[in-house]
Amino acid sequence: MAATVESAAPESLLERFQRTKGWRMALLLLSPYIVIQIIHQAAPGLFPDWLSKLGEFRFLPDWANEALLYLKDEELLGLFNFKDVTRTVSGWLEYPLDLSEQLLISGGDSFGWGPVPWIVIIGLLAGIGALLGGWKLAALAGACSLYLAMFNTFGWGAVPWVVLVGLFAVAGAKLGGWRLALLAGGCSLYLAVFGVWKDSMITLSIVFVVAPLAALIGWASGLVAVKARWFEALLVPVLNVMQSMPHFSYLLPISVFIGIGDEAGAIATVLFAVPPMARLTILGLRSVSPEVREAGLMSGCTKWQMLWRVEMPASRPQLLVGINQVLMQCFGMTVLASFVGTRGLGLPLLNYLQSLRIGKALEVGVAIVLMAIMLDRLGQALGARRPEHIDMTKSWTARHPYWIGGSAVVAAGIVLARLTEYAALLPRGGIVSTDRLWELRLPGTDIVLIDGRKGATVSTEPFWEWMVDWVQLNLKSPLGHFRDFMILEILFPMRDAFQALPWIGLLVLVAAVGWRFGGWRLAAIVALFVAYLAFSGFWIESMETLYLVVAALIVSVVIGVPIGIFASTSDRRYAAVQVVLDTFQVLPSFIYLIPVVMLFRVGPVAALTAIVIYATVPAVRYTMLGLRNVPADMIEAAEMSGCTRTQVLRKVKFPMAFPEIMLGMNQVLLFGLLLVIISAFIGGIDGLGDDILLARTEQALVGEGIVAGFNVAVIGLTADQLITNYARERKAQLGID
Amino acid sequence: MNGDAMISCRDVWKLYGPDPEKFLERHGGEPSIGTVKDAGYIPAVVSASLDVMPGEILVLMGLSGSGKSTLVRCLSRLIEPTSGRVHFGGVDLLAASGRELIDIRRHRMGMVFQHFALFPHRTVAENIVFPLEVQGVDSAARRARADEILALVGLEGRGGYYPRELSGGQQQRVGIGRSLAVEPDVWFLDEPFSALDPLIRREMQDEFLRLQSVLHKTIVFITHDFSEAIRLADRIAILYEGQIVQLGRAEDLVTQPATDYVRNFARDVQRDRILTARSVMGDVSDAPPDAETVDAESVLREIAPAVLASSHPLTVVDDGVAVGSLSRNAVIDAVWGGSEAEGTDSGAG
Repeated sequence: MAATVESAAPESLLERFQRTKGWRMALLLLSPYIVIQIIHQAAPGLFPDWLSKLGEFRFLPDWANEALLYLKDEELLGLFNFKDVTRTVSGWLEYPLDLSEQLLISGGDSFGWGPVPWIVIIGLLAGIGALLGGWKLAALAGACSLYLAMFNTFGWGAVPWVVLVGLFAVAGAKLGGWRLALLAGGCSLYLAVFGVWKDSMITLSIVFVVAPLAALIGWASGLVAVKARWFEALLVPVLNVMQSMPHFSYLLPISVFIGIGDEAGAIATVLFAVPPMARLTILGLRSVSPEVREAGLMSGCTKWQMLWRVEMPASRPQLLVGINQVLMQCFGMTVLASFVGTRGLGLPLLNYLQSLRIGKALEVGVAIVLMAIMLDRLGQALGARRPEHIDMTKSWTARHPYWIGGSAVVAAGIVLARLTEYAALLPRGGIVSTDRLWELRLPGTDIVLIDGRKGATVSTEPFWEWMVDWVQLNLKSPLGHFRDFMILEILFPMRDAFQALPWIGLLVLVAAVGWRFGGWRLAAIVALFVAYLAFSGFWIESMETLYLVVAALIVSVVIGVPIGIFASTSDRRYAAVQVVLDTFQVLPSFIYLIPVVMLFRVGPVAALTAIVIYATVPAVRYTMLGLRNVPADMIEAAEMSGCTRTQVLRKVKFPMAFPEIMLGMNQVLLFGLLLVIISAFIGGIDGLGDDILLARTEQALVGEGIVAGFNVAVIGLTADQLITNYARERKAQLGID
Repeated sequence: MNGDAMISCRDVWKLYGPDPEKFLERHGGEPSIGTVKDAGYIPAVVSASLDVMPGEILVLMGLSGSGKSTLVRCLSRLIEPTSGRVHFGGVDLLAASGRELIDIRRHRMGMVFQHFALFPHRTVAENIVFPLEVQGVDSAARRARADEILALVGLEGRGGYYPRELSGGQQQRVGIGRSLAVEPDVWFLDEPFSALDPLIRREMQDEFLRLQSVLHKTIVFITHDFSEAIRLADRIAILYEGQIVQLGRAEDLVTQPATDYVRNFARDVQRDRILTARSVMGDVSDAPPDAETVDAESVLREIAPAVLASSHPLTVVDDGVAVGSLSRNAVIDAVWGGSEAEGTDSGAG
């Protein structure tokens, strides 16, 4: 008897706690919080104020402000000025940015600018091309630089737009067949015809410079992380924070240390786009199968040969996914960098939005959307390509149809551009002339759909304006009522409740949840996070941000989960929804503000709507993913047990998919946090975004703007830590990978 | 150490756990399995000693987790043994420097992997000559060698294809080709046919035997399939929980299993294909002087018709010298009766 009692190891408190389930669990977790709330409400005398609010605690923001001003104005260690260093670095970017812009849009004759002769640059670019992608990329890079060198001397200017549109189509054809050719050609044609060619090419020229740079830095840091443990331990937390920081947090210090303009935007963009590449490089190198590695060793590879000839090429698929992500991050950030005066598609959008010219903003918005889709699809097609054998019995021309097609496009385009200047360079739409040469009306009405102006470009602004007017006229009153109701009855009470939270209560609650899913370690980490928020000087603002994100989370779940359930029930629906989600996901977050401003102008409801549109995407995606991943035999077992379809969903699929859905919630929160800051731009909402935005115009406040941005990251990381730990544990219990 | 052996290993241990060298030292280099497990270490290879003779096919056979893959990786030093000695062609492999090891692998070893381990970004030909490429052989010589190997493994005309465009069997032909590109002395094959369909597996085994009849390599072949081991092996080493429980010819394993574990494997084999006349013969005087003769090394399946058709025992000869006799009963006992206790029930099935 005694022996059997002894053999069962005594259950620790944590283990017993972790065995508890359901409502009892929830009550257990909430109980310390409830006790604190009761004391707080019933006996405020027992509860010192500083345990509730630390609003006056301004140590961190003040310190940050001064630190930044110090870096900006003073000599570091009496040796050099930090700002001078950053300005020098940004100066290096000026040349490639210039070059890329000249090639794509502005022409000019400054090739060979500076101390470097152009022949060296051609060699350098071709060399980099050869290193990264063999002779084909080398030829491409060489041809581009040769074009610049030769044609500028003849005064032919930038590459004609017809050539670029043609090349996009050829690239589409090569990577994804005629559908992609049509998409890429069509999208770029839109940019040309609707008067945003110049802006879009400036954006593209920046992306062409920053994307390779970001990819290179990300790849290199990922590589070092894989080879050196200590560097990985250092890098991964930094990546975590960087990826949870709002976009503006990158722009703020940049505006101080670099200033305003293209270089500032470019540097912010590089910083912003490095993390995904570093992550995917680590992932790619780690996923090389041990057998392939051993095959390399047994073939007698040295360490160096191992890396360059085995590991790097074998992780190529992940690296290409990384490059596509870098491309899209760069595009989105370049657009947003208009806040620090970076030119391109973002700047007119910003201006039109600020002056409430919604029609024009929509036209630019469509251009951004189309360009994002085009770049993403081309990048994805590139990543999905797998090597295929070449039939050597065919002639050289038959083996390289796209290279020949591309060359033909270039030749024909250049000739065409010599014949008519319309084929060479498009005037910027709208500002050229107000004389309408032709217009397209909606049949039977006097509504102008397309307004053809002098030159080759046309504008859809009248159409969009008409639409905006229609919305204003017909929906103003119901939308207004809806907005007022939301604000007064739901959002404000919710905000007040969040603001009334004593920080110690939230800390205890979060720590209890952390303890439940990750033991003492996790509890300590998340408690530290909440304590940081409390002492950061931005507790109230953090809560104001959090409430809006939580409100958006609730709406996103209510909308997204049913859509996910619906979409997961048939393969065709699944594929269709997947396409929509993929499209939504690549759009720069800035875009989501346009329709929202149109409907609600300013205020929390507008922000909420933007967040919901943006953040419902992951809610749908993860719900779908979770439900689709439930093993088929498990569903068959449920059906054979006589479950109805709802029972299968409720009793089998949903519990199995729940951890994945929770991961979706996590993404919703992270997405929401990023957008809530951007939507501060439309105004009328308080919170961290306001502080960050304020710092944009007031250099003395940049330090605290960065602190506010860091708070956003900390809120995100707290949720992320709790949810991913929960999902990991639950998935392990359910035996899903 | 056996000086004639191509590969010779003695007392090789591989333990997983914290500071295993110290642990082995503390226990005098020879702890019992129980001690190892109680201390929380995972014994992957336990005191393994074996010799692989030149031109021999040695099969390491065991179920998953028996340590056979770890052992072969200790022999090629893909995994560093915790203790023990490994000699490769007379060289102390564990004392070799990184550079020397690379040199040995570049010229004297080839390895084939279970999941082929082909480089997805290289064509078939580029995969095959990869070992030559890393040692700096010029491209003309590589091309010539690629063509030779492609012909050898029956992939003529497929040199420009990528691995993913080939079937599983063809992919493993590429893996075999790559492992032979440098004309190695020793050929390691780690479950090379396990990932293939049964019919393809059979075909690849034939192909393997054909290649070996031409090449005469020294081979260490891993499998978990006893019938594959019997088909291919000169000698078989059976591994269980990291230990070599028995090492011998297939016939020895069947007639004199060292443990019940080996006996279980041997139970379902077709004994008539394995047992030779020598292993079941009786006294030479039992056969009449004018009896027909059978060779001592021939398996029962080949000689059974003659023995069963004869009313008297046949004479077993070895190099023309009579060494024993073979009666009907001896053959029937050996094949269907069995000399072991469970013979009756296995005979019924």
